[in-house]
Amino acid sequence: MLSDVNTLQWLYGSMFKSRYYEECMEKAYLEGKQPVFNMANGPVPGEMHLSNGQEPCAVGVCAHLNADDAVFATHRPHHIAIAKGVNLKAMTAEIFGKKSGLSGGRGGHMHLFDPTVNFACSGIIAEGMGPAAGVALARKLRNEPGIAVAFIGEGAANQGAFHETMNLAAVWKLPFVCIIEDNAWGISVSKTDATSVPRNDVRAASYGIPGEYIEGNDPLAIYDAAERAIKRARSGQGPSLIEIETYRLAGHFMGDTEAYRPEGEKDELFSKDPIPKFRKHLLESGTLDETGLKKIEEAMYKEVDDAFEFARSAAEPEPIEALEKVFA
Amino acid sequence: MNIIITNDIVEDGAEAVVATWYFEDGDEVEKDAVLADIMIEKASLELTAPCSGKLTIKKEEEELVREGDVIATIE
Amino acid sequence: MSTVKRKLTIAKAISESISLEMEADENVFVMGEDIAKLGGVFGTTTGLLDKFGPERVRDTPISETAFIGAAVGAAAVGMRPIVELMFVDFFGVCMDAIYNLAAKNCYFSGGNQPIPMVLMTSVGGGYGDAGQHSQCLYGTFAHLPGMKVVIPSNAYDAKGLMHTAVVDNNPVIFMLHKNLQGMGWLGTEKKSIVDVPKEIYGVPFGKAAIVRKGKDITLVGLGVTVHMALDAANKLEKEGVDAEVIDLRSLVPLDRETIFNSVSKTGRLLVIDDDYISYGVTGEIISSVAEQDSSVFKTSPQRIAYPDIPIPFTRPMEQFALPNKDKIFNTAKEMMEGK
Repeated sequence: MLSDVNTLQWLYGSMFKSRYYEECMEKAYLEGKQPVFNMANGPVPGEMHLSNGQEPCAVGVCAHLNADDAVFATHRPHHIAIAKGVNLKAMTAEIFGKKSGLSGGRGGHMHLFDPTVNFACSGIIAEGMGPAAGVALARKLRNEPGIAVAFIGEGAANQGAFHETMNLAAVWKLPFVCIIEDNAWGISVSKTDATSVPRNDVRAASYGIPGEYIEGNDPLAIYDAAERAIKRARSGQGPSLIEIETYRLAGHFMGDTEAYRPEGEKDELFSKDPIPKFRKHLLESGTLDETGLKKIEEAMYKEVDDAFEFARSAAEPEPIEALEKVFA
Repeated sequence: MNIIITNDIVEDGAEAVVATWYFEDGDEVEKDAVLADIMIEKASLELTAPCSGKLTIKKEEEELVREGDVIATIE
Repeated sequence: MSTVKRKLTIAKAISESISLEMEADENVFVMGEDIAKLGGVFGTTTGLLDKFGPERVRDTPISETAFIGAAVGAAAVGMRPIVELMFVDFFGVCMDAIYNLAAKNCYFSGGNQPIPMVLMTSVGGGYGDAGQHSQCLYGTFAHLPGMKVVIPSNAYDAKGLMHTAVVDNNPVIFMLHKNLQGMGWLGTEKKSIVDVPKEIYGVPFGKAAIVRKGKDITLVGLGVTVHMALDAANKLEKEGVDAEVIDLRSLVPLDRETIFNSVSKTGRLLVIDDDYISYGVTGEIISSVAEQDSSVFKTSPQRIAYPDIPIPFTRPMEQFALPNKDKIFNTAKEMMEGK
């Protein structure tokens, strides 16, 4: 059981930062979109997929990763980007479509690329799987350290790219880990209605690799499971699959009314919010006291506020820059 | 007949907005015809005609409506 | 035909059309992601689950290759599936089932195994959904043989084209422009919300619509660009320029005759497309006229389309890249001045 105080503090701090970030993002996103909700309007146009509730998945895994470990995330990337150490100012500027954003505004929230920490995300379900395996392959060919982790949702485990990549990573014994964030919903379709097995860890057997299912959205249990899988990858034993029971506290995308959720489900999920739960655990176990926690929280508030301030005051690109960077 | 925004369209205190009128002021409408889309955040609700007759629009598109507002009349 | 006016959005017209087809023929069924309880992310299947039940209105897992491939198989044995590909951009994961199977099986089987399926999909951007959720890809699908491709610009055409699509014994790619669906949360082009008759009726494929008659210049558009052209035409009218606006409606089959006749009359052709410019619709329309008789041109034909770039997220770049009524107006004016 993880007892290192620094790691525990980091886990809490990153989750707290992530959640506050999403709360700020929600506010920014809704600007200009009321009373008539038109996705095109406001400082942050387009879609917005927030990660509230899924923070434990990001921190439990990324706690074990270095800058040269690659992470591929999905259309719901913020918590993972933050845990991976993506430049927060440049990331926020990108989401606001500014010139000083990670991609000069070309990508937006679903297409965040930070090569300095080997983070990328994209908008097609399961498409990060192949590239993650590719980075793992490159590390292996060049005999250099560094593994690759692909984060996907439970819905993506029914997409062809998932199955092909798992097999490829297994048969080539790549230093690769697949993390499935099971938030039980693919937009309006429940896991039960879409997936032939109740848990995807059993699918690991079809690739001859270990699979684990972590219940309860618990950052410490995730940390332990990720440690096992990442050690396997680093030691040349090949890939692993971990599926994590987590909760999507916001809708699929901002503006989703979630009418498809059974009554009372959301309220129940809010009562299981992992961040206050972890905070309580840190206090009760004596790892941190109220002052220590507040210090972390103040630092996180500042970092996120600074990032949003940076993004808001940053300049927009010139329209004609749209034609640049198609080719290197 | 007044078409009033009732509690099952807009809950206590909530604000909705008229998104789309499917008819113009003065049009003849049939009972049960879909008159307009009312939006609350992203959810869209259909407003249907309670009777047939000539429609007079009281709340235009992008106007806010609350419980108790008269959105239109049909004579 | 009913006489009482009844305006519908394209989304409502589509779900009504599908409902009527499902009532008329028990072989028609619908499947796709989020099309049952949610009624489709773009409202194409609202109300169908309640009316027809989960056997005929099926939510699928996120497995396009599987369920679109399945649509091909079901169609091969006489069912008439309507399958939804949520965003046309997702075609990448399942294109084999579409262009290699659905489009080719009739030919490979010498006509013995036609594939009567409809693949409906959302196209278009302009609201910040970035490069993998904003594409049109008209050229991509129209270019590959064996599939019919249609795109309505208004609710009347939408309902009629859907009827024609369902009863057609061939695979039809039915494209629905997001700016025209009538989803409140996306903003919509009001001109697409029009009177729609209650009964079943068909709008033929391969017949473009002259939505505005004129004599000075021919503006050709599809989907949202039809409305941009109409807006530009209104502005041109104030400058004494009388523009004819053609709504293609159908890319495959393409109504080359209507376009040629119009350009023969006006002598000026301007094609507007929100898909990528190179190797696409605009080139096809211009070549069609030129190869028939290039002497009809009083001035060089022009095109306004999306530049050959991945669609950028940020608003200044996206709006720079998109066609719009001002670009159409300015280009048309230059053409009138013989530039």
